[in-house]
Amino acid sequence: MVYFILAIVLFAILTFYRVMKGPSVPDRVAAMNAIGVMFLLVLVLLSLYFDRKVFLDVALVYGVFLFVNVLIMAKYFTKPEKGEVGD
Amino acid sequence: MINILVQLFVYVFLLTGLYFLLSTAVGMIRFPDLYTRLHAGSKCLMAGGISVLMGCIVMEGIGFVSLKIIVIIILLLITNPVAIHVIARLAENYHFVPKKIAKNELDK
Amino acid sequence: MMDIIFNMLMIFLVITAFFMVFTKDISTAVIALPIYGAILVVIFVILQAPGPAIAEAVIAAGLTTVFFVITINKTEY
Repeated sequence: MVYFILAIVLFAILTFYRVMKGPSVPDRVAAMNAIGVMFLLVLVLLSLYFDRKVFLDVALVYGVFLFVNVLIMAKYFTKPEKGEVGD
Repeated sequence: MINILVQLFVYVFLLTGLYFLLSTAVGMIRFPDLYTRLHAGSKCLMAGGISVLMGCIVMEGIGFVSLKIIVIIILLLITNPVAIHVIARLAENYHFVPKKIAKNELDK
Repeated sequence: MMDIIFNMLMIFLVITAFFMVFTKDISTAVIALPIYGAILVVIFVILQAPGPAIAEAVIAAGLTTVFFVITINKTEY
């Protein structure tokens, strides 16, 4: 079960490449959403691995605030920058 | 006997989830356009997450912990499509032109 | 085996922090901030501390990012 946690962390590190080299802002927000859901799965698996029920509350609270992050970013990053060309 | 069967179901669910999460990471890296990346970020991610959480439910059995995991599944099912839709509405401020896969050979 | 995951998360934390400092665009740095918070939450959970983990998930991954985004919208544009 530890191998599954290690694999999901490795996939999150792979997805961080798109945050580093995304050409525009919505690419980076979508990659941030994907990394957040992957870490939520890691939190649930760690809660079952350590056999403590308290850590599931951490996963639930983190999921709610990830959604709030995405909503606020999509509402307030409105105007594009000067020389940005989407591809 | 029933223990081995439960263990096998857990491994099948977790491996399916890992496959979809790997396809999410590869799609986020390799796709050429924003909208195709949104496909990878919505469908593959939700399939992988639900598979991993179903594996956790099968591992844990019926109880208080599995009810909390069901609450997390319902939260993901509500919030992730809304998030992807909102990102797509953000992208129309940037005036993207989607890349053409095939050339248009009719206008010559 | 948990030690390898812990070291990998530490390396990812350092990469995220240096990326936030040395990038040129300011909105990119703000987008990289919740990822930093998420890694800190997982590290606190591995270290068996649920209280700081919930505080980190509420404050650093939630509230600070919202304040930075609203501030960038009010000033730069």
